[in-house]
Amino acid sequence: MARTDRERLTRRTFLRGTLLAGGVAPVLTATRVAAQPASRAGLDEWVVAVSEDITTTDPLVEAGGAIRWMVSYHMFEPLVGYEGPSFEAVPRLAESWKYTSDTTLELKLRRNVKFHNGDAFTAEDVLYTYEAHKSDPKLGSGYVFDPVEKFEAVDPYTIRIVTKTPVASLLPNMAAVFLVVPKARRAIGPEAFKRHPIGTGMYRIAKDWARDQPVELQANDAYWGGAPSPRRLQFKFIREASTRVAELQRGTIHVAESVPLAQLPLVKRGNTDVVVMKGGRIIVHEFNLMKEPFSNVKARQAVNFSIDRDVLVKNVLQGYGLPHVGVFSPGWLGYSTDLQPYTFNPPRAKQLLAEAGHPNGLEFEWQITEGVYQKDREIAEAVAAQLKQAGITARLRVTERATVFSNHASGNFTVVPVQWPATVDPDRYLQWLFVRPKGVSDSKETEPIRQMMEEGRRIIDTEKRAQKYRELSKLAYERALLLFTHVQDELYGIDKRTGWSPYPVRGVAVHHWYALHASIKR
Amino acid sequence: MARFLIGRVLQSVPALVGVTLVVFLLLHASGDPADLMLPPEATDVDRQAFRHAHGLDRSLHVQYALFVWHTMRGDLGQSFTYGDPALDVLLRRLPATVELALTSTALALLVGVPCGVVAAFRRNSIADYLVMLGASLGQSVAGFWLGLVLIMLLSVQLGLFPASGRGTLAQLVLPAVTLSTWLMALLARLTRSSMLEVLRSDYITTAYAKGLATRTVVLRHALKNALIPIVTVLGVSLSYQMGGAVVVETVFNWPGLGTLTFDSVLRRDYPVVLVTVLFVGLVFVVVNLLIDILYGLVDPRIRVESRP
Repeated sequence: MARTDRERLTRRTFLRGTLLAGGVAPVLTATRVAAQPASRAGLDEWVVAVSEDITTTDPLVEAGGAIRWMVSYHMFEPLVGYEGPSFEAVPRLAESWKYTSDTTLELKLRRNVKFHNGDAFTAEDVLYTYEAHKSDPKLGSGYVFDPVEKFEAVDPYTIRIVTKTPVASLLPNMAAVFLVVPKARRAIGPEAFKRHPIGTGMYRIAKDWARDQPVELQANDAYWGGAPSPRRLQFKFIREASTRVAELQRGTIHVAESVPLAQLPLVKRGNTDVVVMKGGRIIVHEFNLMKEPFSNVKARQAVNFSIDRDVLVKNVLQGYGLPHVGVFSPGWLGYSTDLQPYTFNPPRAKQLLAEAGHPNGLEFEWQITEGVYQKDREIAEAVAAQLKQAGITARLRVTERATVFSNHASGNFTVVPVQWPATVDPDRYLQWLFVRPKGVSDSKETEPIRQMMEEGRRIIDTEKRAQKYRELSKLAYERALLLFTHVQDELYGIDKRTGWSPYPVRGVAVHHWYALHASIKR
Repeated sequence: MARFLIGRVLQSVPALVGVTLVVFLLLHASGDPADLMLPPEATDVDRQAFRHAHGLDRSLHVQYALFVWHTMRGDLGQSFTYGDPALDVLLRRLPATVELALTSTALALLVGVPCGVVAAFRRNSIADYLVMLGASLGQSVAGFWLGLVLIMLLSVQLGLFPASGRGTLAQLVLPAVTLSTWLMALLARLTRSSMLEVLRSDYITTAYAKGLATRTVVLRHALKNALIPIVTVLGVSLSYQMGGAVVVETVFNWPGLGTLTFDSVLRRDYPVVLVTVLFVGLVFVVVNLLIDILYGLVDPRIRVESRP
């Protein structure tokens, strides 16, 4: 059976490669044409304002967040990328790959690729990068490489990865974390490399970078995929959203990341506009399953039947979001449209409460954040008002983000918010939800979920894996393991001359950090 | 004098230890840096390795004792975020903070004090009313709002100044004006009330009786004697500003100590938070010392020397 799967996978990989080769080329051509008006309008340099400090440009210094990743991604490349309209594996530094067994993945590297300093890219660079990840816990990439038993160069252009067990998430996880850095980094030292990072990417550093300064990039004319447009690209940290919007209006920046809803009217006029990454971030709230009252499934269902999600999205988020149905967001592996959504039904909620032993309603503490996600406090307040109609009192406690993280892990909560950006592979998100937090991982309720996660991790066949996650999502949803509210859209402000928009994924969702890269380049 | 100085420096040691201890305990009580520094995907093994690498797996008292011991040896630790020595991170941001603090203080002084003098001297005149109205507004308005309004008006609409960043003189104008407003208003009010009190003194009447020019009476006799509370306020305000101005730095994207401290607290970058707390503590100690010395210069009746 395993052999049949393998054969089919190999054929699929081959087919996928062929289709993508045929599919990506027209996309490249089409969007290059689309990018021309911006160039004609004199926008050969874009300044992208990001909301978080750029702490390093070197992928091997610290794990960093999505922003650091987005900046690095223009200078460095993974072996395999997950991007394009279908959001599937596309060949980057590896031109092809195949599973030779359930536990062995072989990747053929692209030849004639040069780093910005002229060095040829070979398997040794991949090994160097891998070793750096393996040996440095600060990079936080153990989840990618812990299951790896062996990582070897078969020849200068072939890498073989052997895992201890079948790991379906290996390739997508590698795409999300593993940017190849030249082994020359060792020779020049990390300090010099930080100032002058060298990759194989479509942009190269234009000016030595210093802390607290923008990262200035220029087109890499020797890029194997062709030189990109715009010719110059700058990433600039502007903390305050209002200031990003003001700079956008002045025309000094051209793409502003994370525009708050309150600023939309300002951005939607003149030469600027708002572009949307639909369903970019799941916001969900975790119940402590080991504590009263939410150790009881009926109490959890009652809460979920007391929320009018359409009202939240329409009135609080001004339509920039989606009601959350199931564990995943549209576009994710395992997302299903077959689930019966929790409707706003206070009588049903009251009945469930009575069955759960709370005929007079219940009260609980809900740790919430303020100003971390779009309208986070307002959403919680609206939900609390809705819950009242079913006799449920939520005591909101605004809690600082770091404390929320710690409380989530230690089980020191009754209900606590969790967020996750649109993602390549759902495994880590599920671990964050059902394995990491005490009060959830030690509950019998989540045992079958964790069992399904374990099985899903070992299924290499994508369709079969998706089916497993659909089952998991259905179970978690029906058992109301989470307090489901909404999926928020990610909003960007743009100078209209850029013609830029976030990348759509499977029609609806978009991967956060690929967005800028993919649209600028393609 | 030397004895006085040594005494004051020694007095500051328990204060600095106390402040760092409180901040250290609050930081540790409020969250784990591993959760913030590592991606959410990081495994528990990664998190544990991170804690171990930064000594965060030791008991609290050992961590604090090590911090004190290393500080005494001049090693203030390495930033979790930047990987650089925490002191270097602070020193990198310090010039921006000094630039903004000194400019806004100078601006407040140059505008606030003369306004206060005029208001006192021309009491109950239109000038007095205007100054007091301006001062009331200046003290009431929120820095965040004022900064954004200035950006919208002077930067977006009129294009006179850049909206954010640091590097040119033009970029300094809006943040300095925003930051100085509160202090300017305070100084105007303080100078006015202090001057009013002095102007009623007998020696001022005497000065007039001697036939001295009004200008000489106001500047040399009245203002000098009215300076004591102004010097105190200036000193305290400058100390605060040397610690960074979070709101103004945020609005104008000014790379100063305020936002560094704020971000470091949010990220639980302990070494950077502790080094900035130590620095601000030291600034307070030094500035207070300078104020005490200045008192003596402004008013010879105040002696800083210890009694025999």
